[in-house]
Amino acid sequence: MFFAALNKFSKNATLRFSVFYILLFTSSVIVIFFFMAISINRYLQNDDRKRIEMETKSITESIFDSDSEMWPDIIKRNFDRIGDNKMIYVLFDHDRSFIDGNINGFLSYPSGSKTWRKLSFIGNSETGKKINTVLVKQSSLPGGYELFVGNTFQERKVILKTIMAQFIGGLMFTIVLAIVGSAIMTGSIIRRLETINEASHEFMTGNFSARIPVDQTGDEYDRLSMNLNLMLDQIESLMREVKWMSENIAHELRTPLMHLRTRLESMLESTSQNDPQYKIIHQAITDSNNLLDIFAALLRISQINSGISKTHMTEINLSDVLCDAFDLYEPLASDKNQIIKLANVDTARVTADRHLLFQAFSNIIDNAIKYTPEGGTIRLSLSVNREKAAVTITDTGPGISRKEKMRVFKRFYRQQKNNSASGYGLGLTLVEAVANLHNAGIKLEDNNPGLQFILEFHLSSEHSNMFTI
Amino acid sequence: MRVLIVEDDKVVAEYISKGLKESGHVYRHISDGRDALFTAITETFDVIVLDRMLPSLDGLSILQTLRASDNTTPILILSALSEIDDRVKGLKAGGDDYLVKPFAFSELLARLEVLVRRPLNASVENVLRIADLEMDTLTRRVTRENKTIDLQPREFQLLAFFMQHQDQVLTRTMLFEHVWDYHFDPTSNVIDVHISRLRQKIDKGFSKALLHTIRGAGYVLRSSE
Repeated sequence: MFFAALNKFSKNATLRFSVFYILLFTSSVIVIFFFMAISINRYLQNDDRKRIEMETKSITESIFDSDSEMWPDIIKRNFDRIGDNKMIYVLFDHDRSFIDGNINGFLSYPSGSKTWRKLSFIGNSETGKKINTVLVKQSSLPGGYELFVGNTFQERKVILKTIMAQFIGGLMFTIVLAIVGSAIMTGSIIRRLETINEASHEFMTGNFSARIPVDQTGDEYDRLSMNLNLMLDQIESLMREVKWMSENIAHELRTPLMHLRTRLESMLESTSQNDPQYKIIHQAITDSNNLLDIFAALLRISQINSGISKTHMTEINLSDVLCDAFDLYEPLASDKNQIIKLANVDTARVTADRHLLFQAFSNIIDNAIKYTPEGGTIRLSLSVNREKAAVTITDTGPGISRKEKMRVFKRFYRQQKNNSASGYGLGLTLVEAVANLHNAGIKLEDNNPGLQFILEFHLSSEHSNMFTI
Repeated sequence: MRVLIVEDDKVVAEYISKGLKESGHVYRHISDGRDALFTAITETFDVIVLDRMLPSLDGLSILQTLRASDNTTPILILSALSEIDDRVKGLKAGGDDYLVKPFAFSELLARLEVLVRRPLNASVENVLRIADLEMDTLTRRVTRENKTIDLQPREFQLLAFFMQHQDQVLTRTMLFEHVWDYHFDPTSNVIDVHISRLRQKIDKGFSKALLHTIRGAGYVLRSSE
């Protein structure tokens, strides 16, 4: 489930881009807030200091005119007057003993002569005793008294907390907005790309009149669609030209060839079998037949490659075609003392042209029989797993070397060591063309010894949504 | 049989007419589409050989017009187009058979003879018979000299096709199209191997051979030598 989602994510560029954008946007907002919080904190800290200084000043001024013995009392009165629990006041005398304050003194008596410092004390709260840290200003009064005035930062904390809460709320809202916004944007981009995908897929599968819908807004997608449509127009006209050409070549070039053969046959009829010319004419007829066969095979391959045959696809049972091919070739293999067997034939419904599939299977089996020595084994099987049906044809012949594996599908390619075998080297080219037409995969593997030929077809239900993202 | 050849290619037309004459058939050759349609309507033929590409009126139009006017003369379409698409189009338009150029005359002749002679109808009579060989199409039992012959399903179909077309030459391609029902030319001698297997079962050990090879053409099932 998770991996499926991850897989989908990695295959969707627009979605990936939006997620990246949301992350970037969110982190930039967080950075901005961070700097804002620092400056607010600094401002509030300054405010705290001013307040402490103000209080210190007012206390110092109130004792200015009076006798030094009266100071503790005056300061005490001042403390009572303020009664503010956010402010801290502590008075020590010259031998550092606690005289008065709204707290019971500090955890440790501050040493040194710094004016501003942070000090800790044990305070009471609803939950029990708690160590608080305060910013304190120490002022030495005449007569050795030390006055400490501090602020508990509570106000500052409340303000920062409020700002933080507001910010988190705002951030959440921003993220939700970004996700919704990018979902809408991604959705609309994907939808538009999907129409392009669908149309091109339809075109590729042989419907040459398929075009991408244009919604006349004239935006960049419309322009892309229009350009692609122009390209499809050109491809379509090229395809038609190729079809027209091949049909005409078929007609124009095959006809004189046929005339040649016809005339040779007439000649043969009027020649006695004992005449030395008889053999030569007979050979010439065979040659012209070969020429016509090669021509027909080439024409057929290019017609299959052009996707024109796609219109004959129907839903068929793949195993029927394979069994029929087995049935056709079984006596031929038996005649060569080869063992040919059908192993594990599953039922598999595929959308295909049964005539072309039969031809492809026949070509592979024909090759297998040709190259497998007497007593060898040819094995046909059809196995289905989840969305694919694999037709496997193995033989125990000489196999194909790694180097030759890529080349066997080329037109007119024949294996060097098997030059004696008949054929024009077009059999596997046709197999490849048929496989491509059906979006089937071809694999050539070693059977040690021999060759394993695997054709992988998409099952019918999967076939329709193969190209969606 | 009386054959109408509609073909604009002189060499091909000559090839066909010469072959027909030599095998004792009557023919009429027309190279223009319009003339051909007129002749096909006004005269009676056993079978028509119709080229697809013709001057003035194409083969398919002639075919459709004939069928629309209830003319049921069997028609064999001749064409240089070998795509299944064209085959299907031709047969849908009312053609009875389809042959791709280039072809051997023996192939054309075999197909024409099959078209002219209606096959023995197995649904009327369940038992097909030739000499002492009998085939019951319902029980799928085959006997010769009252001895049962075991046939594989495909061998049975093959023999049934032969028995429905007794005394007619059947080419390898025809056998393949009818018995296996796929359109393509098997390159190697696969069909021959099937025939020799069938021959082993129905002819071997009996006094008279029924299944004969016709050199350069195909096979025939007949009781006379």
